[in-house]
Amino acid sequence: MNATDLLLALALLLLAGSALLARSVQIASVLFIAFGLLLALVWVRLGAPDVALAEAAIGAGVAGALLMLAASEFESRRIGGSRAAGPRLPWPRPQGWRPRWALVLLALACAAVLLLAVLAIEPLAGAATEAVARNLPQSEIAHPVTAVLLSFRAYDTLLEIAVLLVAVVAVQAAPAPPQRALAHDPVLARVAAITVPLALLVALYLLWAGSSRSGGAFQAGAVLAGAVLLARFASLPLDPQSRLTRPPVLALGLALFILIGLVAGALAGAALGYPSGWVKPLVLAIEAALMVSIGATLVALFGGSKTA
Amino acid sequence: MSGVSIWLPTGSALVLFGLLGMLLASSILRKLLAFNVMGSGIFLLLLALRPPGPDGVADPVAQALIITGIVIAIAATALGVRLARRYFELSGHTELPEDRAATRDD
Amino acid sequence: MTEAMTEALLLPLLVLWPLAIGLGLYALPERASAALQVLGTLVLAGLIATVFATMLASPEPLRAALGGWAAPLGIELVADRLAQAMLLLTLLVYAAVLLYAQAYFAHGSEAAQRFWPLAWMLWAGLNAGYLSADLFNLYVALELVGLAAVGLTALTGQSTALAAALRYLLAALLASNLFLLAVVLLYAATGSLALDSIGAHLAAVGTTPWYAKLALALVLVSLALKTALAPLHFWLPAAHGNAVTPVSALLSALVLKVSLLIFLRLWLEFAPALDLAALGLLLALLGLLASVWGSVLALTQRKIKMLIAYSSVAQVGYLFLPFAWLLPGGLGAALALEATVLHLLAHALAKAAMFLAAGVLVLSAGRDDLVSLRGAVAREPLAFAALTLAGVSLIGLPPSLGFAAKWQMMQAALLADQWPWLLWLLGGTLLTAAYVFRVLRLAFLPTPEAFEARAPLPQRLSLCALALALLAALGGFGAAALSDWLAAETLLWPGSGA
Repeated sequence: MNATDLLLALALLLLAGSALLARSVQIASVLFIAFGLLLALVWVRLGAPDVALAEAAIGAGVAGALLMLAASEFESRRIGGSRAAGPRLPWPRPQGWRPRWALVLLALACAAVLLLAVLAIEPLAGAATEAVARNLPQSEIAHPVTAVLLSFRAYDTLLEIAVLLVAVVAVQAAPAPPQRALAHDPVLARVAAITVPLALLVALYLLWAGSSRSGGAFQAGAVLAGAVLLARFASLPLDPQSRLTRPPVLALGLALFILIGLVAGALAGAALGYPSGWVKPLVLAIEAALMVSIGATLVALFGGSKTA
Repeated sequence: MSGVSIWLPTGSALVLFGLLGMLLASSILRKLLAFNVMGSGIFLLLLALRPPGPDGVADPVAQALIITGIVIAIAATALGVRLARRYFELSGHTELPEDRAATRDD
Repeated sequence: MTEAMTEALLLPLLVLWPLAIGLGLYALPERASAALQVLGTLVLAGLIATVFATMLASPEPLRAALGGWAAPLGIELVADRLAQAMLLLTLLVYAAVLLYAQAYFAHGSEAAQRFWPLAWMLWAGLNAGYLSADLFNLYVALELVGLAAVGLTALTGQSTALAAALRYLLAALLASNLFLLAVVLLYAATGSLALDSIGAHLAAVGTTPWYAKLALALVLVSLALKTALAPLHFWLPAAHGNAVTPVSALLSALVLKVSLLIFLRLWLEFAPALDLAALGLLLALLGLLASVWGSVLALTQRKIKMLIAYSSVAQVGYLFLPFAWLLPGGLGAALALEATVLHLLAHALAKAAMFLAAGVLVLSAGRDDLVSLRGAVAREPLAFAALTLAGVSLIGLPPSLGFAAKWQMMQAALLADQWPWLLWLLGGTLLTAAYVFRVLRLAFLPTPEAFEARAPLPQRLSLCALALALLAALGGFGAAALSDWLAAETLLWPGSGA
């Protein structure tokens, strides 16, 4: 156990705790973003750079931004100042029967049991890692995590994209409240003019890199979403949002995944399999389509509703 | 295995924080935040329980599971946030009826 | 193509096809909607028929290793008889609900547009849950089902529906995290995510480590929350009661069942390794409480859909009763398993029919409280017939499927020498009859004048409800054959009593 890890762990817990106890949800969201970014560092410490990229972009970035956006909206639209003198804890005693102390004790007991359990488990020495390493050459994908995501356990990835799409459809069914037009900010516009193209390049790089090292569709898609949103907030002349969040674009990734999964699968003998020699181009095609869809989906989740 | 990994109690603590948050927090947004914290704790436990390969890279299956989990969590969070915003717009409340403080509410 | 290859394409199609249709319904213009769904349903029916046909040739469950990677490296789908029964049930309920919804939604309404893609993606998620033999994959499938269900609950966009959807979402998310935690523990302990591999590993070790039991307990709590077993049912009544009628039908009939099915599968898979007697008793007791609580609350409801929703709480309680006898080597275990499955099928059909019929009556009267039932016999005789027949199955009168299920349960209790439960089963029947009669009685009262002036409703709505209700009410005739068919393969414990 070395000092850096100890420090990271304590900082992580501190950030999480203060995010949950913060006075206002806006502050809580900011602390949550910080928590997410620190967690990304922890992932790197644990030897998981792919996860770190996803955590930073999606777990911290998108989640935190969504929460912060909603929190700001709630604060700015609150009628009257009834909340100005809020209770000390952000968890006031609710009406109705809710034995808080009982729940706290229960949760503490569960956590203690959990801790004992995880300490007691003797981890099997990398059994799954060996299986992946053994079959990696046959999968014709160089990077183990990509191989798991798009070959060994591609079905999970496919269903997960479906989950994302379901969320978008459900979100679009509940139209977003109209947002104020943003004032033009010249500094932001200047920054965005440089950052947006750069971000697009980064996204493409992540996509390409995913086949042989850390990267891939999810991370690339998240960076793409960030670029699009930045362009929108900076009121750049190029505003792809309305075109990007149309159903066909959002559906593209999953549609192509299913199509390739079935057609290539038929040739290979099992659904979601790839015929030998075709793996690289097919996986790249799927990842590219997924990148666009994931990027568009993340943008759509923010509040771009389908234009009529 | 050189001693106990510090990430085990850290992950457990995060799960505890998240669980408490989901059960006790009044505002919907806080519950969603707590959900994410709890999820992060679970992922941390996963990686802490899987010993890394010989080259220091973490178990690829575990990494894939966590990435999948992160994406699913964002989908759920986004849906929750949107529903919460819409609910706020229609009703003016940021909390579900059973969670509101015992003050006069119209 | 070899047989294995056919299976490897056929089984995934059961999930990928509804997803594709859902995509089409989302991305293509609305004019294509009806044609797409007809095509979708017919093809899916054909696929399920193929599965059945293949199974008839050989009694082995169908397996598909996705991507050609065998478990535990890859993910496998397994279509055993349990899964097949669920696939068929889902097809029947969906066919009725989709036809109903076509006529139910006002033409071109916003809510309708979102209903179709969400409903089909929900279908894909349900099928995925029935077929998956991988623990993490089950988690993902449950998420797909959960988010689609929440989206459907919130469809009307009204404040009450949104609150119900939020409550449902938060409960589902808590449950999902508990499930995920269990997956983490089991994966760490066994190095595998495939169900049979985990089961084998746990059984092979001399004494099962206590943390494996903890993991299973977490899974059970998670799935109990998703299936709304009291006292974890708090989210259900508002969600099912406030949703649009076709959604309520899907939620009560199918969404509740998939988590129960996964619960059942995991129970059967891990039972040899764990000592489940006490847990089974606890579940049965909770089921007992649930059936009382749900029935009592159903009796006090003013709105008809809330009454039906509380009835679901009660019926879920019934579904958990047989777990007291569902133990390896236990007497009556096989009967208990059959009883569970029969009851699951019976409730799905009856509850869907009830919601659809109630929807007709609510539309016809223009209000959603029990007053809308007055004069139903004269106003909407078909819908009333559907309601009655569904009630017959719910109460458990012969020759309904519900009766067959209760009969099996009673036999299991007798065999296991636990006759006190018999008293409860009979008592529960009376309670169910109480709230069903409360509803039906109103139908014979004279129609209030206000209802006379309303426009007549398309017959199709009532017919859809009636079709499902007939299946439930007459299903008892086929129950014996169904039991035999199920028993042939699902119970695989060594030395289990038959």
